Amino acid sequence: MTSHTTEIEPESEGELLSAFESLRPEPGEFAAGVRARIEEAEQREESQVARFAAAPERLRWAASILPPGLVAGATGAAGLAGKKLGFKLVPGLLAIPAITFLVLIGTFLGGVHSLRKEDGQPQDVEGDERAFASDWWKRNRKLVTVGFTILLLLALFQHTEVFTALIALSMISTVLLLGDLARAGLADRARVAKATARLLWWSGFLWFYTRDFLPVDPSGYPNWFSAVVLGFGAIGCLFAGGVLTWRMIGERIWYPDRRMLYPDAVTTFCLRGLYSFFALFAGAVILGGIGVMGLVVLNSTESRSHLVEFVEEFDAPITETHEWREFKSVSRSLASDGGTAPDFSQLRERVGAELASGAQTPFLGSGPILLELGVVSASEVPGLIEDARVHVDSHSAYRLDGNYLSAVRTLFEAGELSAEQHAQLTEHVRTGIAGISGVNSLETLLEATWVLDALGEGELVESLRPQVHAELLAHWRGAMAASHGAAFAQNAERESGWFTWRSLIHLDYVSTQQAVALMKRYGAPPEVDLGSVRETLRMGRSKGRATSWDDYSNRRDLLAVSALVQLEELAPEPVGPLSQLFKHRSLFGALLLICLCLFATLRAPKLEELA
Amino acid sequence: MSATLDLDQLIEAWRGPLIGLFAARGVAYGEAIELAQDVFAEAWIGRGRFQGAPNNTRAVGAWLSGIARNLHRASSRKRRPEPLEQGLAEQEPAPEASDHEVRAAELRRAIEALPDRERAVVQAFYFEETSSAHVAALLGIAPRAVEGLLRRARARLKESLESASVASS
Repeated sequence: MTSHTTEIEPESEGELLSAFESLRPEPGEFAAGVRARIEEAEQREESQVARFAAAPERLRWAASILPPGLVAGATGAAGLAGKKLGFKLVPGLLAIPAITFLVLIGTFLGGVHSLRKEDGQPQDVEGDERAFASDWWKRNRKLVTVGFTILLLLALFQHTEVFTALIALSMISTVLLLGDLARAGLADRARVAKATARLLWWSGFLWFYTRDFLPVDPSGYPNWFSAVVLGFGAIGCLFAGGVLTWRMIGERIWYPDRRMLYPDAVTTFCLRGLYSFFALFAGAVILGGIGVMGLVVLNSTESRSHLVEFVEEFDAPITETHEWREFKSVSRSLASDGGTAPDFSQLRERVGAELASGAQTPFLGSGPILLELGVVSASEVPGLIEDARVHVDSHSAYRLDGNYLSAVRTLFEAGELSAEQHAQLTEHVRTGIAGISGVNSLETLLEATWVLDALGEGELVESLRPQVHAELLAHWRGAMAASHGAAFAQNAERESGWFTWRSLIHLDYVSTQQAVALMKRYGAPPEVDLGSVRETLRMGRSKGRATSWDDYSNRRDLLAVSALVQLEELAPEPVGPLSQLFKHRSLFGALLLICLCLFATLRAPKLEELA
Repeated sequence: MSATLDLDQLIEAWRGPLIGLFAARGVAYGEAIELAQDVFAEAWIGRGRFQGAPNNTRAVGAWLSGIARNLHRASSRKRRPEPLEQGLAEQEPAPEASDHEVRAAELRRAIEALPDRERAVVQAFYFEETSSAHVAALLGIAPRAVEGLLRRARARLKESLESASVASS
């Protein structure tokens, strides 16, 4: 056998050229192979042309107007402009908002550009599709522009429900259109998968960043959850269409031989300019599946015993005011619901020690409720009684407010309210109640109700019903801002679209809890959606079980629980499949859209089946 | 090349560098030939979008290089990456091969061991006889840079083969 070692040095060009001699293709065969490929591509295109020409006008329009890259190329026969467009344009017009709204943004951020950089596939639609689209646009651009402008105005200045519904309808019709295109042989599975994935991804992306403007979904989940689900749906479509595989992902982000993350994977994900928003959403999609698992476990402590426990352990100093205001709301609701009263021995001991050390309990804060609950006696707080008396006598002619009512209640609980002061109170209420509006009006009305009920003025209390209902409606937010949900606010504002959203006062749980207490006493106005209130309160409990009164969010959580317990007494939550469906409508809507997209993708023929 | 694109001339001028370029990216030579055919077909079908002058080597090279890059990316998604050792093993001569074939295989192995840029230049330049201008256009570098890389590569090959010769003796 010849030795395989070499003693030849590669000094000549010829030596290097000859190194590849055995590997070179025969020129004639190579050229023949090229021509065969060209012929095959031309035949494929001719069959595409034939399919395009044979397709119904609606699909020819769709193939022309939908994003470039969807249709696997079609040139050729002319004269495709329809005459009697009429009702056939309806699905097209409906499809436009979704495409225009999403693809314009997507196009701007490079979506169409990336579609054009295809996998070595033939470049896209020329010829007849462009001519058809151009002709259609010339004839319909005014109508389309006006329609789209109206749609945007609806969202900007009116309720966003109409906008959302139209977009949703548009997306559904677009997906159905994609499916029809595929069945007509004008789109293959991979391209349908990319189109549906883009629809889902961009809709989720926009939902994620504009969720505060969209109608709230009373599901109890954070509003971004449905956006994340759409993101997962987009990824699912890519897998279903064979566009994405696990190996591909691995190759993109992992150097197996170097055992390290591909550097660009990190920078692409985190740092590229405009795409940082995209990356943030992508991160939310990835982490959302994990994060939402914890959020699903919320709302496990909507129980009276939970409230009792924290009221009994309440530890704010008696000189504080804000925390006692909330304590008052919760403990009064417990005192009035007929259930087992909390054990205030611990509170009594602590308060006693503070009073003994010289601390004063103000009637604007802890005083009245401590007297109401019997935690302290009048003789222990002489300063409180005197301050209340002074306030009642000096403010009986002033505007009716919560401070006056607290002072009256203090005197009543201390047994110090004179008949004259009682009469002044009822007269003050009769004449001043109509003037109660604006900030803290719910609290004032609630306080007036408590006081009058305690004084046995039932008839007067009933006469407040119209005023109470009017104030409830004035503070009712409805299903306005998604992140704040449907509840009550401190200030009375009118609902409107996106432009005035920022002028709304932040919804707060104190007002909502007060509103629920009022509705429990006076009944709920028909316009108030108690189901939405219930779910908004549940959303406010996303932090889970509160453990301390110190943190504001924990106190808010307790107020939410108090309101929920009272709400359950006012209007027990309906249980049934339809109510559950309505409760989770955004999520079901997102899942329905995903299922449609997957269906359209999987029904589309593969590219090799089209050839 | 003529003032208008001619398919046969295009193939003749760029076949070798393209195949060599694919091979330098780790593609087996058989598949590199297939990919090169795909590049020419793709280029011909989309020749209406070529905006340069047909006799402008740099423009044509850049155009073909772009197509080649896309096809290579698409192709690499569809196939399992072939370990370098396996690719080299396919180039090993049969036991009954002549000395010439054995030497050629040794040389190819030495070329595979070159640094990336030098290997790319050598394979694109020597697969079939071509010009440094064509190689430069495909790789997006200056012809002078190609010549410099070739010089370094030849020196390195000489050194490595001399070392192999000394080690085996």
